[in-house]
Amino acid sequence: MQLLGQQTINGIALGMVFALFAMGFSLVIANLSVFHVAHAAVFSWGAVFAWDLTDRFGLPLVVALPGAALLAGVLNVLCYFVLIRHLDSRRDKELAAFISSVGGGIILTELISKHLNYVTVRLPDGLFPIRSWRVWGLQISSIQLLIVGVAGVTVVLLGLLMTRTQIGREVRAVAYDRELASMLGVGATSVSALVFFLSGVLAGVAAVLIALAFSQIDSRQGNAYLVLALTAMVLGGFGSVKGVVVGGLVVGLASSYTTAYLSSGYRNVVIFGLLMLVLVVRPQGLFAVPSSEIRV
Amino acid sequence: MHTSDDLLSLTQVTIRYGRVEAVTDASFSVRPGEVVALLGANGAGKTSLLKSISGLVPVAAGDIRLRGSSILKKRPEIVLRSGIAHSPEGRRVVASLTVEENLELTGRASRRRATRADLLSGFEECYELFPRLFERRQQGSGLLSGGEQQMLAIARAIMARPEVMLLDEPSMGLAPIMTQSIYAVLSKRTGTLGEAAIILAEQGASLALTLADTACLLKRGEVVYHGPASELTAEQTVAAYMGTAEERQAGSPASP
Ligand SMILES: Nc1ncnc2c1ncn2[C@@H]1O[C@H](COP(=O)(O)OP(=O)(O)OP(=O)(O)O)[C@@H](O)[C@H]1O
Ligand SMILES: [Mg+2]
Repeated sequence: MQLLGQQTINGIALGMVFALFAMGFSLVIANLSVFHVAHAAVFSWGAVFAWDLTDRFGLPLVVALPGAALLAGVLNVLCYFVLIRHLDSRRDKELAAFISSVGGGIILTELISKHLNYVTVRLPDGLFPIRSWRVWGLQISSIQLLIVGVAGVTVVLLGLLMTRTQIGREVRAVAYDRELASMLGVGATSVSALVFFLSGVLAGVAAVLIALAFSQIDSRQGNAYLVLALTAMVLGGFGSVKGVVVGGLVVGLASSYTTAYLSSGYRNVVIFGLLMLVLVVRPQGLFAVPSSEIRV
Repeated sequence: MHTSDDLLSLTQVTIRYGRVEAVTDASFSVRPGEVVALLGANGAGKTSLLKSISGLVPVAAGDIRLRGSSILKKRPEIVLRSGIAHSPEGRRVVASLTVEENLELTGRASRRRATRADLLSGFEECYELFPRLFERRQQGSGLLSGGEQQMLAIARAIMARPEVMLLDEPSMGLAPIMTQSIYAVLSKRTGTLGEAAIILAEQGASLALTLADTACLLKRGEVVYHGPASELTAEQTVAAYMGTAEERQAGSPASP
């Protein structure tokens, strides 16, 4: 029972990070129907930015976390204009953009390797005070609280942005029908740029949290999370913020339980087994959104 | 072609989709507050013309001017912000937004400096014209009936406070009674509907002509009549839709 409780806490913290990553990815899908896999490299860069800002420039975490997130957002906007935007007029633009994004991701990953001189780095010690508390016999660390807090606030802010503001209405209108949105006064290109920015920010926040939790940063980190985040997205029933969060938590919990009760070697088997199972039983995902109402 | 009291003028506009020429050398103009019925059979080019005004399809040749300056190559959102609102064919609404979100979206996107008061007076105007929308303002617009979606598509255009409204077949696919009630609203001509010029594209001529000052009749992409609505004869209309009497006798194919 003790172990179960402990792994639940670990799983929730991990799951929130998957959710952040997956949410950014699905924002782009909803906006352009583009499978922007370079998102994984933007995530990796997010952690590298955090390392630059803290280890090299000696900035504290309160500055470095938002700083790295903003830089990742800007990098993702660059990805949009360099890799995707100009393919707009092609008939096969989704496929072309996917390939372009794959290529961009490879280049960005290589650039990280170069930037880090082909070694794994870590955020400086003492960047965030590590403490832990016992609550009902369970160990809760300050890092876990930070992850759940930051990720939770980010998700809520994103939800408010999407449902309560003009920006959110514009993003949703473009996701629904690009041409119609432009007739209603919405500049679809600037909305897409904004979506890539938000998506990059989400990846950046997730990356900094992961870097803090596992204190390791390397160029390929994002790729492992990409597949897990995609699973979270499909599990949740792509298209709703709620679905992505729940999907992320499910993947996080599955991952943490497997590590504890079986062995970490089975982790991916269990996660993808779960995915297959859900897709057979409930092909639309746990929270389906009618395709006409995809909101994200 | 352009005279100083024209608000919007099209000069020899040609529109092509690949090799298909949808509109050929179309010219007509609209004065402030004027209602123009843009008539023509299926495939005559009405939608293409309206889309070219909005910047949604490129113009192969010719010019389109608003208050004397060309709006060719302007992006649709810029055209809207310069005063031309388009209510598209097939009553497209943003189904993932509620009725009021649809209105607010355009109200704000069309004028970057729209204040809360502008917005509220826009809502009020729309809800006064279409009380049904008020009742359903919090409802997802994808759940509205076809007639209500058409009301929303018109109301949304009103939210932009345009000088020119492009209404593409507001009667399409609606029961006659619903069409009647929408036309009853359009004929009120108060507020924005009273001030704005309207280009009303319809297949059915009779209803549109009750509202129009001017008629513009298209036949296979060419303007075959442009003049006072009252002087458009039934014969001319029939000829545009079915071909002239000689053409019919000769058995040449009528427009599709
Ligand atoms: N996207 C497109 N690609 C190719 N051809 C098109 C396209 N849109 C319209 N056309 C062609 O252009 C011509 C004019 O079409 P348009 O939709 O403008 O006519 P319309 O008068 O609006 O007809 P309707 O009353 O049926 O709405 C038609 O022959 C149509 O097939
Ligand atoms: Mg049409």
